[in-house]
Order: sequence, then C-alpha cells, then structure tokens
Amino acid sequence: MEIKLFDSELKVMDVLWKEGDMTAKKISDILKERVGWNMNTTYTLIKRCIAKGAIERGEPNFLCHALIPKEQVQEQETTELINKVFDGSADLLFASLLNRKNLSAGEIERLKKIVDSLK
Amino acid sequence: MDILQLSLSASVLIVAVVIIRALTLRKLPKNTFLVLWGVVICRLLIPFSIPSRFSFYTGVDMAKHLLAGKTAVSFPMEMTGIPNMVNMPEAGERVGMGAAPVSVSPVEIIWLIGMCACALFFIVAYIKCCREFKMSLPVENDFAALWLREHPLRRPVQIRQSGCIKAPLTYGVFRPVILLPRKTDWTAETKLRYILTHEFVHIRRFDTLTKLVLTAIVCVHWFNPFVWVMYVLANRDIELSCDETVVRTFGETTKSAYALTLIGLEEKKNRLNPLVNNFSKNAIEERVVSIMELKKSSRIMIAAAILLVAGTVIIFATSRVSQANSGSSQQSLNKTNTNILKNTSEISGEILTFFNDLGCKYELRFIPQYAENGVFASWNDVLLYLYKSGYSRGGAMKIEDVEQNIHSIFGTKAVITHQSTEDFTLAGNRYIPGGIAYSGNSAYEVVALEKLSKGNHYRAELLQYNYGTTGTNDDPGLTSNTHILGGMGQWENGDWKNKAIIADLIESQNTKELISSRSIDITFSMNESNNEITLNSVAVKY
Repeated sequence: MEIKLFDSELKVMDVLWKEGDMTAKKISDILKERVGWNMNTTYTLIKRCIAKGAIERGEPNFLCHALIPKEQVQEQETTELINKVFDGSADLLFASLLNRKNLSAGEIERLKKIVDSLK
Repeated sequence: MDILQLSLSASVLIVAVVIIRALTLRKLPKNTFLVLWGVVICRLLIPFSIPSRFSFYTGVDMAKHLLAGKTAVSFPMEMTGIPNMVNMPEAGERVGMGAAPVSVSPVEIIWLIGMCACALFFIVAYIKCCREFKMSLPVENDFAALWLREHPLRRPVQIRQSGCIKAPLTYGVFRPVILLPRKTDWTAETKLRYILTHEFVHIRRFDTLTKLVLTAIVCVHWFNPFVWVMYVLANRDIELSCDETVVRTFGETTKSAYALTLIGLEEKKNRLNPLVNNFSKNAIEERVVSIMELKKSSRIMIAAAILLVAGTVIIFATSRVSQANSGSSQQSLNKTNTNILKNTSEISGEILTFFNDLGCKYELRFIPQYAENGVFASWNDVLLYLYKSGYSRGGAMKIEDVEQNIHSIFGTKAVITHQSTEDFTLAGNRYIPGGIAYSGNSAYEVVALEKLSKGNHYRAELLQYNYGTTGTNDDPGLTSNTHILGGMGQWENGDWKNKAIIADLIESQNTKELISSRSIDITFSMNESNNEITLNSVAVKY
C-alpha cells in the first residue's frame, strides 16, 4: 500500500523515521526549531497524517508512531488545496477570484507575440 | 453624511478615476493611479469633505440654476464682505433634551448583514489560507540566503516554499513571507531575481496592508458595484506599479525578459487549472503590454500626473460650496433640535434670519450662489431676505430701496436685474409672508418644533415679527425680532395648544437681552403627511 503525503506532512514523518516514536509535543518542539512552525501548525499536520493512515496515535501524551516506512510513501503533487479556493497569485483574497489567470495555450502564444512585437 | 451618501459621492470619483485610467494608463507613471485610488479610499472612509468653488457639484448646482432661469441678480466677483454663515451653534448644548431614541431602519439592518457576511467570507478565507501557508517549509539554499542578505529590511523577511501554490506570493505585514511554489527552479537565477524583487517591492510598500484595507472597504460598501470595480482595478494597479518599479530596478532592457517570466508563470498555472476566466485575460495582457510599453518617465509626464491628481481631487473629491454651508447649518439645527418640523414658508433655501438658542444668538444669512461672474440668487429669496432681516424697516420697499439695500450688502458693483416684483402681497395693512399668523402688533412664525421625549410634549420656537406696515412715516416699522423659546405644549385633537412659556428672548436690531417672561397661547394644525404647519392663532398675555 502506498500513501501520498504533502511535503509538509513528509517533514513530520521525517522526524519520526529518523528519531523513532515520540510525543506530539516533542515533534512540535523539534519542528519549531527546524522550520519555524508553531504548535498548532504541527498538530494540524500530525492529525492529517493520522487521517491518511501514516501515523498511529498512542497513549500516553499523544505518542506518535509511524505506520509506514519511508519507502512506501510517495510525495503528493499538491494542486487542489489552495487552488480550489484561491489562485496562488499574489492576491491573497477575493481579487484573486476575479483575477484568476488561467490562459489557454493559444492565449499564452498570443501574449508572447505581443512581447515580441513590442520589443 | 451617512454611508449611502458617502458611497454615492465616492462613486462619482471612482467613475472619474476609471475614465482617467482608461485614457492615460499607458502614458503616465503607474503610481499616479495608486495615488488616485488613495484619494478614493479617503473619500470612502472619511465622512466629511472640503467645499470647493471648483467642485464638480458646485458646477452641477450652477448648471441647475442657469437652466431653471432663476438668475436674477448677479454680482461681480470682486466684492468683499460677503455675508456667510457665522456662529454655528455648538453641538451638544441641548444634547439630552428630547433626544430621540436611536432607531435602526431595515435598510441599515440589511447593510449590516451584508457587511458581516462579506467580512466573514474574507476572514474565513484569509484564516484558511494563512493556516495553509504556515505549513510551508523554509528554503535553505545559498541563493536565497544571499538574496536575503542583499535585501535587508527592518522587518524580518523569510523565503519559504509550499506545495499549495503554483505562483509566488507574499503574505504577512509585520513578518512578511515570500512564498514560492514547491517546484521552483533554483537554477534559473535571473528569473528568480525578477520574481523575488517583485515580491520584495510588494513588501517594501506594504501592499499586503493596502490590499487588506481595500478588502475592508469592499465589506463596508458591499452594495456599491463601483466600489467593486475599484477593488479589482486598484489590485491590478498595485501589480502594474510594482512591475514598473522592478523594470526600473533592472533597467529597461530587461523588460521583455521580465514580461516573459510573468507569462511563464501563467503557463505553469495553466497546466494545472482548467478554469478559464475571460476577465483575467485582459488583466494579464494589460500587465504585459504595460511592461513592454514602459518608457523613461519624462518630466512632462510626471508634471501631467501631478496636475491630473490635483485636478481630480479638487473637482471630484470636494463638495459643493453652498451645499456645504447650508448643509452644515441644517446639520446644526438637527443636532440642537431633534425632530424639527419646519413651516414651509420659513427659511427656504438661502433665506435665513437670526435665531436664538438658549441664550446664544445665531445669525443665519442669505447665502447667494457663487458663479463665474458673480452671484446667482432667486429674486424672491433676495427680497424675502431684505424684508425679514429688517432692511425694509417695516415698509414695502421701493425699487430704489431694494437697490440701495443690495448695494449695502454686496457693494456698489452689484448688478441688479429688476423683475418688477419688489412688492410683496400686503394683507391687513402689513407685509405678511405666507404661513405667518399675527396677533396684536406682531406676526409669528413657527421656526422649529421640537418633540420632547416626554409624551406629546413639544417645544416650539416662535419667531415674532413686529414689522410689516405699509411704511408710513409715523410707523416705526421693524423695531425688534423677538424670539420665544421654550413654549411647552401638547397636541390635542390635531391642534397644538400651548400651556406655558419658560422663557422668551427679545432681540432688538442691535442688542440682545432677556426682557420678560410671559405666557403665550398658540394654536396651529399640522398636516402629518407633509409636516406643513398652519398657524391658527396667537395670543400673548403679559
């Protein structure tokens, strides 16, 4: 069985693979130092990994255990998440919905020609 | 000014900016439009405006006057000592006395609901995005580290990567983060420099904050389609201006490479998202063309931009001259008297008189309309003003009197077009303007009626006129204007009956003093549909 994980989720798994089972609190401490995530962010990611079946939650103290080895994980191409609601343009908010810039190949070609013609 | 008025006046400004933008987008520095949008933002957020003689609205007023053919008296512009509004009543003097309970209309409720819905949508979306962005991973390579060292800011800037986005973006105001897609090609250093510089310019200019302010404005003015247009265009102009700065930083020879980088970003997005929106085609094309047509901004263009901004501000961001004045007088009356019911014949438009309010004397004056070559005013208004303000000295004025009096107000250069209507209708040997009842030697006019919070009680403000004879030599004419304040009374079967007088204030032509207290019985009916007051009788008991 293969599980697809996002790169940020992989970062969490990395900690478990390298250092063995540990509590969520410990993971959060390590990742705060390494990538600057706050506790909420790390916990959200751990919960996602649990939902995907990559981590098992044990007791006591939210002890995390990696259910799958590194080899069985594939990095997931993330396209849906943010882009479903927001285009990843520089506009964070609604402007991006109105300015959603998705052009056909023909349009792209035409834009390149415009650049050429104005050179 | 309430939110609707604010929104409406800003709409005119937005339309003006949209037109200016369409005409000059390619010619002027892009910052020009950001400044113009800044003016619009101020207009939308600040609930008052500065009156200007050159205001668009003054022009509209003047055109209306001209079309209505009300032009009767015109005065040359160079005259001095034009009477103007003075002594605005201090707000709050009577606050608490008869203040009406705050009521919220259904329209306001709808507006509030819409505003909350809009705000909720944006806040939820923003929080969702931020949570996702927080899961991004820091970039650890030499290029990024070097670039950050080369571009120091007071705020700590981070470069991070996320799989959730397809094009670079920036978020955070105080601790800004440049977020790059997971699949960024770190070997294409030139392209990266363009992209990072673009985001860096956004950070340096606090564009994230600007966008948040714009979003807040859209939430408040959600019902106004023009504000949405502004929202979209202002967001685009932020990008255009940013592009301009980037190209200037790297030199104009790089502009095609920069434009192609942008198109490249579009291409990447395209592969992943099948949705096509026609609106955005224009946006990216506008951007590409703007970059390619960028020229060195000449001094002439910069001067033109400054002139354009100044012109737009003066013409569209200001309010009409007289409206601002009469508007404020209206406002002050509203502040001091809740629920004013005006007798239709009194204080119409520019006709104004003295009035007293709890020991303070206020002078309301006739304010003519300013125009290119002089002052416009309705002839009736001028005459009524002369009569009411005592210039007639109690008599019916002759043509020469009118001329002399106008000159005494506006100076000898006033040009007067007579209309042969100098005489007002005289009734019972007096000059009695419509809506005024008389008793004994005095004529009375209800100036304002204030509903007190206590039951059916009203406080009437009566203006007593002592002038009005045909002006024979043995009649002294106008000797005083009397102001009676504080008549307590009640509505009874559609009539208002006065019960007691608290105080009255008698004001003569030159001095003002409290002369006596007395009781007064007045009866009048009020037409509920149009608030017109018919004064039936007045009896003063000494």
